[in-house]
Amino acid sequence: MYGIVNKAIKDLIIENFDEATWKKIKDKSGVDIDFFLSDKGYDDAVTYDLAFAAADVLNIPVSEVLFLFGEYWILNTGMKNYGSLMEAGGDTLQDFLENLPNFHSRVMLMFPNLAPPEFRISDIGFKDLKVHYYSHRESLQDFVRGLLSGLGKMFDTPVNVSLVEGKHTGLDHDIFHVTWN
Amino acid sequence: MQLLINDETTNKIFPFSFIINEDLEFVFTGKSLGKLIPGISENTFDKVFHFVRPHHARNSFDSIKEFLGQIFILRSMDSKENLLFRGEFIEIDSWLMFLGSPWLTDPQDLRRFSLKLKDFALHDPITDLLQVMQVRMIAAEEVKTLNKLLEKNEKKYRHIVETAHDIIFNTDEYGTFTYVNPVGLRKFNKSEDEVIGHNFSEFVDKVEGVYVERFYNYMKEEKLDSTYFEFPMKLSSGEILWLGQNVKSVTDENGKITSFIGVARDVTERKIFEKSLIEARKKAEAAQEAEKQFLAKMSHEIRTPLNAVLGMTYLLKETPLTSEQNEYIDILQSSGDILHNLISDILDVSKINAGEANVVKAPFDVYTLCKSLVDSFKFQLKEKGLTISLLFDRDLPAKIMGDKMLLNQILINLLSNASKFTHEGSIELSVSQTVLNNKPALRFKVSDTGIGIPDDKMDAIFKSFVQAGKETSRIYGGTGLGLTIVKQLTELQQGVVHIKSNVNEGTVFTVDIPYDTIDAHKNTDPVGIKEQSGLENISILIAEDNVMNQKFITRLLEQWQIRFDIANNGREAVELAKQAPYDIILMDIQMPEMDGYAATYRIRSDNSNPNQNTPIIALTASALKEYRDDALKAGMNDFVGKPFKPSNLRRVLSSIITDNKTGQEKSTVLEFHKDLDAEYLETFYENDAVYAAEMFGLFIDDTYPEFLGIEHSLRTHNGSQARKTIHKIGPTFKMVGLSSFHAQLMDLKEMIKTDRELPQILQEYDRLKETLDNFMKIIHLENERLKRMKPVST
Repeated sequence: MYGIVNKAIKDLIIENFDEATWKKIKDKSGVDIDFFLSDKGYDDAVTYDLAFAAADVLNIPVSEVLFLFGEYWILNTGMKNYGSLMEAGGDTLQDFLENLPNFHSRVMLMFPNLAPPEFRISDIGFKDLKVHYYSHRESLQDFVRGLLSGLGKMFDTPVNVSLVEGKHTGLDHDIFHVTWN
Repeated sequence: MQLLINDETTNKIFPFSFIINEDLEFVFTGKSLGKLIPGISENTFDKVFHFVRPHHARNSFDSIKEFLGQIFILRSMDSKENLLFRGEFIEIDSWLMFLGSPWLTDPQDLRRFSLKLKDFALHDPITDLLQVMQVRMIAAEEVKTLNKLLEKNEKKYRHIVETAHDIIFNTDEYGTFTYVNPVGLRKFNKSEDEVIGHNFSEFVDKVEGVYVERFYNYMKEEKLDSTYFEFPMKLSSGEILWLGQNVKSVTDENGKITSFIGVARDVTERKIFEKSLIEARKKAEAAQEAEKQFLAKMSHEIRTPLNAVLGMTYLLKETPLTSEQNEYIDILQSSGDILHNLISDILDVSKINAGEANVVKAPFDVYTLCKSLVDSFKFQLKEKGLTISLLFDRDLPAKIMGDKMLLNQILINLLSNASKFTHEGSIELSVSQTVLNNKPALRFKVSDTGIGIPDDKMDAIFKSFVQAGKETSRIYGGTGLGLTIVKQLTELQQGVVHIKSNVNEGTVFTVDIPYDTIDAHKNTDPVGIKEQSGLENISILIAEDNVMNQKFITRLLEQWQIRFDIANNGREAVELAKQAPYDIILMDIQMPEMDGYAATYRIRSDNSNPNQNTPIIALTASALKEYRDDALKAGMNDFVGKPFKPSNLRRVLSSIITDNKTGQEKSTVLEFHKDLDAEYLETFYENDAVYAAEMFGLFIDDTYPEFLGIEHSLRTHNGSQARKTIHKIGPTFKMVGLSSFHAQLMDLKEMIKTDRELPQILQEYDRLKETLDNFMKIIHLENERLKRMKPVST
């Protein structure tokens, strides 16, 4: 993954806890990198190791770490670095989500070696839709839940996200049902 | 084909386009254009746009037409922001259509003009390029931050490096300095220009220079992460500076070493101190050597005449004597025995204390050893009216790996002790299995029905020159060293000794000694003591120049009904050995014309000599191990120290004859390569190809790699480890027939011990390695051959 992902984990920990906690997590993970360059590729294992070490040090489940990280990714990393792009993504949550497939294709152009996930939208209702998530990476469903929740917060629209089908039921991708008021 | 595009499609493809007529009125405006220029369609072109390029275009339909085919850059006059449009005009019927989109150069422009992604045509890459630009900007910011961080760290570490007390330096991959801290320059007594760009080897002595260069190459070849080594540098002032340095290699992303970082410390003072210690040790060793030589001399000078005294006493006793003469002779014999035992014990203890008593493990038959010992004691105990028995556990392995000589000495001392302090009843030697420190061990119990030892004397009896009581020494004689020797020799083999004793009831000495199994076959020989010693009618060649000794030996042999011939020197012995086969040859070492070593060598190396494989027993007055080792190296099978008691000689002869009988039952089928020590191997393995193959295999798999590891120990200045490895693997070289190589390896060990210069040691190691590599081809071939051989049933 690109360094921006690992940098985001570092920022999340330092902003919500402190430098000392980050150091503990880094030591625990065995990751020996002090400075992540956003557009440099790092082994996926670095990200996973940091997530597991954070769960261990903070004494919370890994799923919660990933969820928090997803929200942070939208509200802080995305808005801070690519705010204008995020805002241009749509006027409303529904608008943004409907454009999500195109939006992510644009992200891939920004980071050509990212191998990012792909999204598809279906079952668009009045206040709900389904987000289809395709990725070769495993166990990041909670991160996607966090991303969708973060988008709801970005548009001041509380959302409810649930994983309705997915790799655990034999599909080749995961399907999230997103509802809002 | 005519392409008709309606307004909806035009909006999708060109959302920022517009069409004007000849009066410059807007007849069509794209859906997103109105968002940027509200009310545009209610105005004319000249009220809305200003030409940035072409600069000379004027606000007229015809003027615009003149520039068709060129890029138009239009500025919106209405916008407070500097909003530009980039595109071109095309002519459609009688109208002009502008195809273009807003020109955005900052990711913030989207926010500034309230544009959404869907305002742009999907094929329009302008927004994506803006984001790529944003990625680059962030990356550039991060590089700036990183540089600041590096600068900060550089300052911090430079301060540490420049104020450190140790020498800190960088070299390139060849050891050429790229940086040396101020302390280093001061220590080297050189300026920066005199050091940077120069190789480390230029600042050290010629010999060490070569070594330093080799060190850097070695680190590169072996891809070592870090290592420590010490060497002397000769400063321009002539002063010697000893450096102990930790060198760490720096690698590139492919793992290739590109440079080295070193931290060196001035260890000159410690080296001087070490040198003084080495000198002190050398002096101590020289003193020890002098003591050893004194012992050797004393041993030889005392034992030779004593041999004659004892021998003649023994013979004199066999002649008709008056009762008074008999009494004198008994005193003479008893005093001679005491003197002999005293000398032997003192020499044994001295050897152990000097660390000369080594454990040399080799396969041997415990049963044969014990039986021969018990046999020999039976003869003398019978005279005292005592009986002796051997109880041997049938489940013990037929052969074990251990030190036969040391065990022999332990058991002789214990049996002699039992014999001395027992006046009636019996003595028993029992041998069984036990476990000691999780290893299989042999348990030897020597039980007697003697006078016993009081409880309060139990601890003291193992101390040198101490006996159970003052009276004991007076009544029984002896030096009080026998049990000290037993304890020390047992502990030398990681064994333990226990005593259980009751006064006037008897004593049980238990000795447990761990052993290595080499043969799964069980001992099937029925246990018991055979009455026949088996010496009758054998033939012996005696090579002895001393007439007194000749008389003594020949008389003994006559008594034992043994046939013999006498040679007065080594040359005669060789000649006699050519003429007829003997069962045993007794060979004195120091003889005129040709000594015992040379005579043995001649006999052994002559294929036509019928005694080429006859057991040869050395007769030597020297007790020192080196002399005995030399005897074995020369091809002798065993030795008897002079002066010897008849029972000692009888024991050794019995042992040889018993071994030979066992050997004759097996046919020797193993023949080894001529470049190996075939004689030793054939004696060592007899016909056991399976065992031989196993040992050759172990040598290839374990010993050879360990030998290669010595180089690393040497290069990393770990001489102690190198010596330990040599000590550990040394004996195994003989087991694959590399006897001479074994000796050379021991020389290398000595070189390391005496702190020779490392290049010299490495040169010797390289030479040995080359030799060994040549031998390894033979070892591999032999191993394959041995593996193909079928096991011979024993």
